[in-house]
Amino acid sequence: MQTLDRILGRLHAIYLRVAQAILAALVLGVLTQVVFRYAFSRSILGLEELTKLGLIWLTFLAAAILHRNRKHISVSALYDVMSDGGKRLARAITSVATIALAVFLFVQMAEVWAFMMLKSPIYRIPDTWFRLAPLAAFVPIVLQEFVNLAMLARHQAAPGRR
Amino acid sequence: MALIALFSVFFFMMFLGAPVAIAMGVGSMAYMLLSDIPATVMVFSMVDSLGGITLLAIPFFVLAGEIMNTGGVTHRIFNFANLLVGHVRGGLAHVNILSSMFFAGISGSAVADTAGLGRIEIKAMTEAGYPRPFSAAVTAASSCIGPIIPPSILMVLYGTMTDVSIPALFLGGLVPGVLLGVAMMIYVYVAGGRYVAPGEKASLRAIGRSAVRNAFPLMTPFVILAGLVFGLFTPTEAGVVAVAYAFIVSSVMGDMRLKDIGPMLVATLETSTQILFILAMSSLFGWLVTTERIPETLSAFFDMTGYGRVAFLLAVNIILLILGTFMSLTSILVIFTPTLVGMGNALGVDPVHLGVVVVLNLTVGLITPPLGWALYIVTEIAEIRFIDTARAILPFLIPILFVLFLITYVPALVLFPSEYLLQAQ
Amino acid sequence: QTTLRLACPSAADNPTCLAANRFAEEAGALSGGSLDIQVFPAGQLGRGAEAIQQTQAGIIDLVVEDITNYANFVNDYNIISWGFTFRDQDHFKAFLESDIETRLETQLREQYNLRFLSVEWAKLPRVVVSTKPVFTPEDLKGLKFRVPGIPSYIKTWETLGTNPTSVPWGEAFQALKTGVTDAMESPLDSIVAQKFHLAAPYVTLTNHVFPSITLAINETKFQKLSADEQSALVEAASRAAGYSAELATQTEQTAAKKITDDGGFVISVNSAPFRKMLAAKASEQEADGLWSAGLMDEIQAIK
Ligand code: NA
Ligand code: NA
Repeated sequence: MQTLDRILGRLHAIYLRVAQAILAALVLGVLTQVVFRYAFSRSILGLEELTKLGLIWLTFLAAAILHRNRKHISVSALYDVMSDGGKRLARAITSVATIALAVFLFVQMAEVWAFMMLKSPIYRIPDTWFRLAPLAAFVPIVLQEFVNLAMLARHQAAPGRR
Repeated sequence: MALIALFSVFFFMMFLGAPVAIAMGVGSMAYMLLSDIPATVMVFSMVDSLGGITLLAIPFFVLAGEIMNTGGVTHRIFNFANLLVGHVRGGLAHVNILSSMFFAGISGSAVADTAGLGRIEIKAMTEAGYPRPFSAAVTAASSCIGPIIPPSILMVLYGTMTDVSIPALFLGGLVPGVLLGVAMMIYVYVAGGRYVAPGEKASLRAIGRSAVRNAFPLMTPFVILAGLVFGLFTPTEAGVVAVAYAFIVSSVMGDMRLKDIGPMLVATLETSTQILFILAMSSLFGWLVTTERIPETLSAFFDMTGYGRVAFLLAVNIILLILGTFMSLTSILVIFTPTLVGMGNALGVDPVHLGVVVVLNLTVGLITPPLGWALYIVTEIAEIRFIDTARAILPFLIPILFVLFLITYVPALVLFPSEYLLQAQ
Repeated sequence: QTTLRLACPSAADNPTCLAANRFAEEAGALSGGSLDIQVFPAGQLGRGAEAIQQTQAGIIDLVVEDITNYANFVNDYNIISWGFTFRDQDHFKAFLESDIETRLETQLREQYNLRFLSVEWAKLPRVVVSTKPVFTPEDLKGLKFRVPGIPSYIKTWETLGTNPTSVPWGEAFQALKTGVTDAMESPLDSIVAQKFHLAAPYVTLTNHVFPSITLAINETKFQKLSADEQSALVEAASRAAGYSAELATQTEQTAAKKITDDGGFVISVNSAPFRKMLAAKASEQEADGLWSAGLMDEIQAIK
């Protein structure tokens, strides 16, 4: 489990670099669009396809990072006043439910995979490139939850807290 | 039945401390297991909800605020506000509110205000001898102006979800935002005067010099608004223009360095992904609201009372205020917008008006105990007990709720700038 | 009772969705109440290729969309939105009723699980709306021109010398008004419905594409219905087509007047120079695989 946690740590470091790069590229891309329009009276055809791809991947990559660091918005009022045992139980339920959700999502994805035949009109980006993004988030999230459960069982604090 | 399961599972998971986005996903899963709606819809809706180019404005406006904070522009804004109103009865409390109004014109969120500007404000007020709970309360209350005065991330979110014009929403927040500031200042004039004598009046020359020196950051909201109103760029492009503008202003005037860029990008990723991930995971909910025809059912109920519009708006205010005490604003906005807008349409409420009312309602949730997000931040910064902040914030609810009800029942306050400036359509 | 969800992209009071409502009523009546069709207007369940994709996957049951959107699935539909493929409305109608169209429809059904119930819901011809007057192809040169995200539209307007831009339909008005785009093309009735002429006053009647609205159903779903229900659907679709033709005639009579009353200009042009530019490039597009080899000749041969 510790090896898995280390691997996840490394994966998230890569995710962070990629997400940063995407964000920077989005800023520069849209900025170029504005400059092009006023300076050269031209627009970049198909920029929208690329920004859409960028925003989707940015969101899901960063979502995986936030999940590991427990930075997603959550309501902790009730959790904070629980006993230690209650907290452990709450964390266990959350982990199991998260894994169940991810598996459910994977099953649904497999079921409609055959229908992903569209291509974006200009760059011919296959639909699957867009639809894969949640997978990139939920695979590490599931693995992380397994690590969390294992740590929980061994009475250790959940890893990944900053 | 399935709908009840959705909500029970959602609230159960949320109160166990699960991330709101995950709780929403698990709730939706429960719904689909119990109903005959094909569960494969989530594969589509999750990704499609992020498909609009307008959503890019969210990370862009967050980044613009980050740059202003890092580049020291925040400090300059505070100093300028101090020259303007530091001498009025209530002193630094007015400065606190006015800086938030200036800052609101640059940043799209309350987070950037409380965490960046708030630190400077509380420190200055404490050093001048104001009671810490009062300083913390002014800071928290005034940060509510951030999402109202344009630009506003919440309005971008509302606009993309409902296809309502974002420039119209931005313009709609202008008057309510200024009213909020003025109403709070009136309260501070009455209540804050007893603590500390105000500072000395600054000379007109000093004010003029500072105004010239800070002209560029102070002009940001006008650059953005003018660009949108005169159609020089789309809302997304306005975001990127704000980033470029903030970057240039900060590098020329402040002490921004290249090595600051990385951390700013990380902070931006964090804030915007918190919002966007909730949007993606709740997307199925919007689909259910539509297919189950929930707005139609509910609005029929309001029509039956005979006071359709009025009763509806009152219900919106009350329900959102209650939800706001324990849920995050993004999740409320994402979950309830489809229902509210559907009902508003059926009852003849202008969607721009409704959007501004909803956003102001939600922002109040930032400062209502027990779970006001801004309250926690200022309590931490001021190093006091939460209960003291909570007690000090209560009187501020009077001016804020007054403005809320005013704009709820006088739609013209929201609508006239956009009707005047954005003709047609 | 079987409930079917129908996705309609336009506003609830737009002729397309009015026809969809009529279809729902007729289908309910013709099936003796065993079919309950729920119409979701305003793209509430999605629009364009995405809505079709979800119908294909069985999430939506029925979808009303412009036929050219199906080019994202069966390539050959691109030829409909290539400018000036059809001589006139009658030529287009003959194509819709031809074996060629049936062949494409069969391909769509077999490969993509989608069945057309009607291909002939009416829509007015597509025209150009612009901030500067357009009389000849030269006037189009360099205009920032909004096109739908469908390959043949993009190629057509590139060939005509514009600078094609993709702007979502919902932002098209604002884009014209603000100069993000200088011009766009759309059906004449949509220009009036969306008030595009208030943002860009010049409407040039190019009639470069004759559009039609199709009603499609998920094939798996269709096969699960009883024979009576199936024929009820087909009959209701054809009655709704008749109704939409009535609506289109009404709009056609009022559209030009509405535009000039609002201070806009309606320009009639000689389409020959536009047509010539595109005809010269058509074989190039055919060779590039925008549609199958020989298809253009086949269509031109329809009397
Ligand atoms: Na703001
Ligand atoms: Na403040």
